[in-house]
Amino acid sequence: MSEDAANSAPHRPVGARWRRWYEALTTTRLTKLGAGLVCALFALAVFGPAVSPYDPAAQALAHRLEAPSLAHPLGTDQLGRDVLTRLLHGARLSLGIAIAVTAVRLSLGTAVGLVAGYVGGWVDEALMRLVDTLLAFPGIVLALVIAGILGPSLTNVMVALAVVGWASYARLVRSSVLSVREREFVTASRLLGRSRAHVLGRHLIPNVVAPVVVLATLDVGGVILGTAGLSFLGLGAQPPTPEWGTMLASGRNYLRTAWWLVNAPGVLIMLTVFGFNLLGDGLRDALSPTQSAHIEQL
Amino acid sequence: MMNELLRVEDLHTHFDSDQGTVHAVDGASFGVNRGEIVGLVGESGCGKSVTARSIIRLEDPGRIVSGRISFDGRDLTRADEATLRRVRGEDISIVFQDPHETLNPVFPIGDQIAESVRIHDGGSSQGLLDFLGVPPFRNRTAWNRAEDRAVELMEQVAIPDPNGSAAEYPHEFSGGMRQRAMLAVALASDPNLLIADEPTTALDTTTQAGILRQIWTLRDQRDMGVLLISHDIGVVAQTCDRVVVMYGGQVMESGPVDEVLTAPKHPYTRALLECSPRNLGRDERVSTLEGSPPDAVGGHDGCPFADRCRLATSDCRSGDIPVVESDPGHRVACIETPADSRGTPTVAASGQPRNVVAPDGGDEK
Amino acid sequence: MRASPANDGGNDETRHAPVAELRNVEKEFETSRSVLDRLLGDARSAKAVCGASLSISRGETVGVVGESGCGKSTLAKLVTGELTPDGGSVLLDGDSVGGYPTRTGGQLRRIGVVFQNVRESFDSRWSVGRSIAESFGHEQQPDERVDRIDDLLEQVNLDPQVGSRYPSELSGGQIQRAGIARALAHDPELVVLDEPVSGLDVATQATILDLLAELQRRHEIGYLFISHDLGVVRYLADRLAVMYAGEIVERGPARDVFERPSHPYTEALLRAVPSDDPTDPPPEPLPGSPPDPSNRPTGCPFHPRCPHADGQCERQHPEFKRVRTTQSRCHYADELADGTRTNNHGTDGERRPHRSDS
Repeated sequence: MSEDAANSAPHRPVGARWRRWYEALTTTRLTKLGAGLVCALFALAVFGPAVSPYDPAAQALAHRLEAPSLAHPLGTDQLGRDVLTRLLHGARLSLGIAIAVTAVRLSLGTAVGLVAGYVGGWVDEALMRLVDTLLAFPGIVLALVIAGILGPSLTNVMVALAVVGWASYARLVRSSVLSVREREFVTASRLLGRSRAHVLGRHLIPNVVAPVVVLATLDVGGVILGTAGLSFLGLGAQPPTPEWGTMLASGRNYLRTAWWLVNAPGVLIMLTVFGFNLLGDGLRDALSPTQSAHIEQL
Repeated sequence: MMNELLRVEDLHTHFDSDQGTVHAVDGASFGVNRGEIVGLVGESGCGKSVTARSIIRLEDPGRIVSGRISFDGRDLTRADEATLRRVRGEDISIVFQDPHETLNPVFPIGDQIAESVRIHDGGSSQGLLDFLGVPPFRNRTAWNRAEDRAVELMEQVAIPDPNGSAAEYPHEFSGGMRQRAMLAVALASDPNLLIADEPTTALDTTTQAGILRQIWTLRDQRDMGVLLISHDIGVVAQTCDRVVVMYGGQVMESGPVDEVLTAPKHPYTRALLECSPRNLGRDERVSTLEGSPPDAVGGHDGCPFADRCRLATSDCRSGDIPVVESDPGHRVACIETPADSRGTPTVAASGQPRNVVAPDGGDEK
Repeated sequence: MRASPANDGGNDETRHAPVAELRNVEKEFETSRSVLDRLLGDARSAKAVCGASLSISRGETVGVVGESGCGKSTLAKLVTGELTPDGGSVLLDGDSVGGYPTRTGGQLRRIGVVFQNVRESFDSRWSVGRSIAESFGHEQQPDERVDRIDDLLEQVNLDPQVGSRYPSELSGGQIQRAGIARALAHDPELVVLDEPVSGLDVATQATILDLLAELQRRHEIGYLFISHDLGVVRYLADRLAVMYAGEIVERGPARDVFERPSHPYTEALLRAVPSDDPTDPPPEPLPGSPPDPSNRPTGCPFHPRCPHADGQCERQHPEFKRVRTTQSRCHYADELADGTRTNNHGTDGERRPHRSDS
């Protein structure tokens, strides 16, 4: 018995490590709904295009602007393409972009926040003034300017959105680091002669991860909205690409005759953002210190 | 007994947990008279705080399953919410361990005491308006009266320069002064019973002595009953008239401090006294209690202390343990109560090497 | 101030050279930290420790007692290296050392620390075993580490299974034991214990104290034992230092200090401890509060609260005076120790009121 216990002593069993996250995801019904929506969306993005019988770019002018039917559950667009197929392909694109942009924001922001919080002094001062400046700009306007300068393309939209959004991560990480590094377990580690890198990697980063993950989840919705918005304005994906914002923009002209062209991507964007926000809110509630303290007490 | 203020009779308070029903208080009975300080001692988890909360009916999330709590002739276990609010507001006050948590950091101390005075003698909604000081709604004269009363109360609990201190904020007070301010808040309603839950645990001994002395003085001036909860035997020995020793949610022994703490009859009381390092010199080994405190899930059959008791027999492990009144007012819940209470060792003097898991090594939640 | 080593508390047998020694250490904290204050030269500083000297050898326990805010925790942090002294020196095995970043790995490993808030000193995301293993050197193999964790946990009477648990899952006594196990993990010669049993109930306190005594016998570790509870210190300490307002006001063999205090502050501390025997005289409060560290009184820092104070105490800061085996910073140390000096205002005045017997 003692041997088993000893083997697992230095590390938590892998299952238990994730249990906390699983529990966090299933505490309330709304969180479950959010998690369900997000999972469904990922499933659609991954498997949908393979199942769908149509080609998202194949034009069939004979079938243009057909209303929803069994053959085309969400109708066809002005060039006779199947809207559902395009939406599913678009889901891949939109989710991919959102995750990539969020990942860049997260890593850049976390790195800056860690450096500012842990090094302190003038480095902190300089980085935080930069962050303040970025935060003072209305994000979407700044993204418009950047995308405008770099020229209209999906890549440039991603760059613009990433540049605009990392500042809030930096701020969050910095403040968490400032509070965690004063905690006694950090002192304990330093008094053992452990290096700064050790303290940073083993104590600080794991302890600031939870709020960052929450912020990132909430952020994914925002990025999807931002991408769609910029594409809608013509700065992002260009027409043949089945991107949700672009689809919305080109469907706009047929608002009176073919309502499904705008409503299908619109509703999908709304559901996606809604799903990520519910998930993020739920995670925040479940992982906040008061909540976990409450659970520990019981 | 004459002039009994509070009587707790066979109180059972339970909590529900994942492991089962926790019998936090498992049949406790004791009383507090007017003008008497009763100490409630025991290890952490013995149910002393839950007992206190049950008395003012703040036992949530636990629930009182059976028993009677009669206060001044009223049964609090059956009282409705309105009666309870009146009892909590006017008759019973409680002081907690940590004054940091109970004083609001953004209002001056004087205002917080005055607020409790106003809540006591006015409707609570008017009290709030006065406290917030919104000009057209504030009852000026009543608030001024309350402020005067607050200063008076601060004087009673020996806060130096009460007029000046009234305008200060909690962080400007030292720990001892904050605890005195909490006493003033508790006294604003002229309570008949004061429950003090570990009131000095967070304080220095030099300050602790002052607070304890203050509690005597207040008791003498106001003829209140005081229930003092503490894990520190010295505090109880030096402050209380009677003591109630709790273990595993039950009362092991109760009686006058002079008898219980100088000639303890229950093996648990003796074990507890032997543990105290204060009673030893440098070269004496401290005694430690073997075994772990009882698991309160599911309650106990027999004596909760039986598993750690050297004198335990099979009779101790099942059925009801009779409560014997050995001397007037001195009750012991033990079958084996030996005549010579100092004689037999109850716990191991822990000189010999042990390979067992520590007493506190096994008390899992 | 005197620059003599402080190891002269009557303990003449020099079994070991001191592991750690403090010589006239000073530590100040700035109280007003705004840039404007600093520019105006108005940066007030609070003296947390002024001119304290102390030494700890292997196998002995040095107790440091005093009210909260007297500088005893700061003193402990100067020994561990968490703080760097502003004046005086900290010596480890005779070598002068600064804060932890400047200490060598070997120097750091000589001292183990049990923090005041033990639970907080464990990373809540790490298993207890992993936290203990953090103290090991890098040279050990993984399976050696596992054995060593089990061994350490057994030494503090914990089930080895506790190693795979998380700090929030342990009871107060268990986490305290785990804290001790971690402090021992790198085989220190000196363990600094900051209030190791405060907040625990009597029965648990007793088991922890017993464990500490046992470990000291087994490993011949020195303890620097910080506590505000004299009852607890009395049990473990060989030598005692009483601190008031950042100064050590009395030091000497613990037994002598307890039995015949020669400083009025020590006397007041002893009188404030409530005895477990109800027939003993009740504890006496010490009125007033310690001085504001940024605005210290002239003369003896204790004179505003001292029942024996007179004009000399207000004017002149007393030096250490030897009274039998102890040393005391009081002008009237001899008279106090003999009991010949009487109170100016009777501290025994307020007797315990009558009990209202039922």
